[in-house]
Amino acid sequence: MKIIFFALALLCTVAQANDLANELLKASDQGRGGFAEGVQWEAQIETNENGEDSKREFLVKAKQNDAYVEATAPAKNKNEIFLFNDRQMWFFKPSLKKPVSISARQKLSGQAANGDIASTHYARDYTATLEKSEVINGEKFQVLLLKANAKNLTYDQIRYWVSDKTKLASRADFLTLQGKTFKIGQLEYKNKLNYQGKPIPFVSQLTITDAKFNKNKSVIRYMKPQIIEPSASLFNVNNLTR
Amino acid sequence: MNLKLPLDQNEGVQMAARSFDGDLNAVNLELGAEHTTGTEFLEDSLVLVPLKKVQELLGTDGVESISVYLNSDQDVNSVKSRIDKDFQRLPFQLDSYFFYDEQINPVYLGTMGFLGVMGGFIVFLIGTAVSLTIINSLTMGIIERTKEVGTLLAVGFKRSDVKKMFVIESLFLCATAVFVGTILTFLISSVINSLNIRFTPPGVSGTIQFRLVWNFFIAATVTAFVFGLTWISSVTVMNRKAKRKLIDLLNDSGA
Repeated sequence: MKIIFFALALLCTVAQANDLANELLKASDQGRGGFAEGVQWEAQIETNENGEDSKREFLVKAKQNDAYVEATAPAKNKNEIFLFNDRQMWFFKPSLKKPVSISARQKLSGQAANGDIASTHYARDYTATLEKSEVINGEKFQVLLLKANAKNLTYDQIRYWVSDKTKLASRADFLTLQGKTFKIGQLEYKNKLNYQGKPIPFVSQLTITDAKFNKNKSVIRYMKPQIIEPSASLFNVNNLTR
Repeated sequence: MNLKLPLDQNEGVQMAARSFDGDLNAVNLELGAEHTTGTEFLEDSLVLVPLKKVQELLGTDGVESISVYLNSDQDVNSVKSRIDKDFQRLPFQLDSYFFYDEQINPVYLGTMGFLGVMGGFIVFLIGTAVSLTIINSLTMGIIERTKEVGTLLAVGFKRSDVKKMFVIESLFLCATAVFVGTILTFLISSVINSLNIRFTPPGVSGTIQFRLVWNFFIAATVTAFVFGLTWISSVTVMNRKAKRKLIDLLNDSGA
């Protein structure tokens, strides 16, 4: 009888922990544009890889599972478009007759993968489990392990540090299928976004560093975030060629 | 490449790749003829794209190397020297290489070297057997006719004339054999080639026809070798016979 009672209590604890993990993940998505309304921001990726610097700029318009990313600089990449349709990703530029299907895992610039530029809904794409709690610089963080719900996502697994106080993620270790860290992401939230009548913190910088060669890094800066109402046709792949 | 096979000729496709700057890029292409590289491991990973298109895809106006394929009737040496002359007029350094240069094609050179050694060993074995057969036939042919040599000397022929007669006869026999042999090689090679016997060497895509190709240089070398062998064999045997006494030659049993 005692064993059954203990097992039930344990099951309840595990279920509660998983609920908490998924709630935290959902809350942390808000800081990266993961809400029902459309959101737009300008992204600047500065990369230093093997001693070479490069810089790219994009305009990102995202709504729920879709995102429209337009390259704005440098001039040679201007008008290139990356379109996220749910989990399908397309690349298009004016000289192409049809959009090209690409993978979210492919490298966009330096350490940044295609999927990094506009992935906003981790709560939809990953299943979270609570691993442990950590106190860093006096702030308590819940460490979540996110496992991909589909094969075509940017990462197989992510270890995710979400603050207990702000409900925002500050660190993400991107893991291989075998659980080895190959990239480390550091997030900052210095932007403010006016959401439902009140300002909320919004991601301002994501620094992605190679886990083995820490000199190789890409910094994604998020600028001028704002709530927009993009038309559904913007995310229609068939409209790219028109 | 994301290809949904099979594709039709003239079907439009997009090819995506990372440019030299590391950016994703893509170009429109139309499928032309299907081609084979001849090498199995390159068959599904190699595509021929016009230079301008691939430069557009990789975001460059340069090339690292260009391979020039000539028609079989063109002289490779003269084309290379023409290319070298043009290169000398350029303000930057460019080098040209034969396809069999070790610096650019060590695999080809190594493979051909291995085949050469293997083929050379087989030729050596066959050559040795054929040489021994020729020497044996000629020597026995003259030895069996020792009495005839003695008879000719007995009726007044000079030793040098008899020697010359037998050597010329051997050379004439050799010429006849070479002529018949040449005709036979033509016949055998055309019969084998018309049978279209095919085989698949390791690492090669598809099958290759087993063909016998008549080569003038090889035929001339073999002919010269056979004539030389015939001449040496017959002269050696006749010199030994000529040194013997007439009575011994006449009494020789030919054994």
